[in-house]
Amino acid sequence: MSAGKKRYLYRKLAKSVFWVALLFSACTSLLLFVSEFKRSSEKTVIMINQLLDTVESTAAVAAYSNNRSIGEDVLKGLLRNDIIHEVQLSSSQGLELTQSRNTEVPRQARINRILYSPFGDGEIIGRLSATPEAQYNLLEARHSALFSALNSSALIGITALIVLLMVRSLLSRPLMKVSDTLHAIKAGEQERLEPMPRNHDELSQLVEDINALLETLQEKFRSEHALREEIEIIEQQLRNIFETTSAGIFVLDAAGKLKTANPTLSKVIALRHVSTEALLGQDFAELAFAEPALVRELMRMAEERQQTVAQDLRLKNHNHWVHCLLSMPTSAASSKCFEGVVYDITDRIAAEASIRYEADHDSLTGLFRRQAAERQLLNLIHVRRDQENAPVLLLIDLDRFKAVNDTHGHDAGDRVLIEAAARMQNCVRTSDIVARLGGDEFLIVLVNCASPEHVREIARNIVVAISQPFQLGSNLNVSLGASIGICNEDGSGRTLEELYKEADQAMYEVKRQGRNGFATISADGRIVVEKIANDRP
Amino acid sequence: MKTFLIALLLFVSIPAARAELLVVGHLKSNIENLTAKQVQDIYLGRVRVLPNGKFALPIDQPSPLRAEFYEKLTGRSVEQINAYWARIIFTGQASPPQQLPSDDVVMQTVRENEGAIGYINKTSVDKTVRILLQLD
Repeated sequence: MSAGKKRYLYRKLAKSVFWVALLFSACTSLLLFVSEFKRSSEKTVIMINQLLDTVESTAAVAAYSNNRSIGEDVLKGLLRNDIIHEVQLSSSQGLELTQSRNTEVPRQARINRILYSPFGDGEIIGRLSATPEAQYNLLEARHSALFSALNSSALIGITALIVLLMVRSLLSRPLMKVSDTLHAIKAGEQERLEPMPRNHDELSQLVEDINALLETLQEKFRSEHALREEIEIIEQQLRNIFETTSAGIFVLDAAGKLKTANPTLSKVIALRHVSTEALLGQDFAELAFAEPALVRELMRMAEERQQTVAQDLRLKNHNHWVHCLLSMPTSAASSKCFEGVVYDITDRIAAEASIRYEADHDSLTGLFRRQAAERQLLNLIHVRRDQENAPVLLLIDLDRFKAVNDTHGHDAGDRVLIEAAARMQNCVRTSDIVARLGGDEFLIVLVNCASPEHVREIARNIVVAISQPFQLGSNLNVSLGASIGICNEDGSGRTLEELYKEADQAMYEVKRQGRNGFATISADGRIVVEKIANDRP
Repeated sequence: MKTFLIALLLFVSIPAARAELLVVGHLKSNIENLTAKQVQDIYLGRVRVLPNGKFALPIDQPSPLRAEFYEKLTGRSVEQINAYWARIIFTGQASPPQQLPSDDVVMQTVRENEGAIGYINKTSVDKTVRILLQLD
């Protein structure tokens, strides 16, 4: 029960008041005893002096006349007073009288009275002395102190009682009530303490303040609750996003091991049969990527640049592609880690590839378009600087193609072009570039071509291949020829136009000399034409 | 009242004060003279013997000579002397000096007793006694 605990304060106050009162009373009594003893002693001295005054003349007579009887009478009379313990009378003629009470008390200072002759000449004839009764003084002082102690105790007791009752009724009880009510109230509840409008004291102020505090607390609770609900909703939304997003979200530790990931991750990295939980703790780079080194490089960059880095990465399985964003949070108080997002970009990569293919390749023949070929050629020129492996340009023009087109129609022309392209590709290696520049004009770039003889061999093969008849229908064959201008990219820094121009000049020379052949330009600028026998049907 | 009495007493004693008193003793006593103190001690019973070792026998006279004697000797009135003696007598341990009616009787007693001393008017003295002290 908590009442005992509550009454403790009140009891404590009572106890302390009692002890202080007792101590105070004891102190005052002691003080009073001492002072009263002193006062009583002084009073006794005065009284004894007065008594001595009274008997002085008789004592003087006794001393003068050496009369023992009178002296004893005087001493006896003096001893009848309680305040005298012992009396002595002595005369100069040898009379010595002493009378005393038989009490055992510490001796006190004796009061002496010199006796003079009763007959005028001032002769000293004796001495009368009295010792005060200490017992009497003690009794007097004790009585007085006891009385005072009782008196002050009663006074202090009554005062303490009144104070206690006041404290109990004015402070303890209302405080207990407040405390009980406060104890019953739970934080954030609507309940309030009962105000005390009648007395405007500290207690009522306390109650008001507590109520204000409760009000504030409730307000805080309410807003806190609302905030928490809001946070929960947001958290749920974020969790939904995290779990249902099509992107894989993950956290890696410093060593690149998977720490956390959403369920989508395994799908995104094309490991459908494995749950994401099973992937945790494994090395992320080795897990699914075709080139783990790229992932490690990405991690290194993220750490080095302290910002988000991204790269498209190919997966091991099914030729899938993902886009991977990786960053290293700097604010993380915990140990170093990486946050990343991956999402499937296989379709996009495919679309891009197809667009690029269409952009780079002639839709009719499947050969490179002019721009794609030139781009590759420029790459070669920039990359391969040694004379040995210089690329060789073969500019090819189909002879008499315009006639076929005009005579048999565009479809026939197209079929011829497709067939010619296929034949040209058969004459070169797959690493060589075969492009259709437009119309019936083609460009072949030979890569890593060792000798001019080999170049001529290839050119010859192409001319021979093109001069074979083209079968357009069951009964329709057409024959064409090819004129080829050859130009060596010799590393002299010529532009593409200059190379074209040189090849064009060589080709023109072939056409001028009757077509179906090829021409090279020698070192001194001379065009050397080599004609191929035309076995026309 | 008291002052009146004292005044009266003084008035009465003035003519007597003129007279001179003599303290006398036995001729054979080898005492040349006595001091006023010695006389006082003997007359008030404090001392019982004379300086020569003889037992003292002091002799009083009736008033007014007695009053004058004590007045001159102690400075106290005869009433005070009487009161003093009253206290002593009450104890039964001592008694005041014997009182004799006249100078002549005193002279006679002194002549006959070796330890006796008495006081008389100066006019009454003769060679038969020894003058021990003169009181003015």
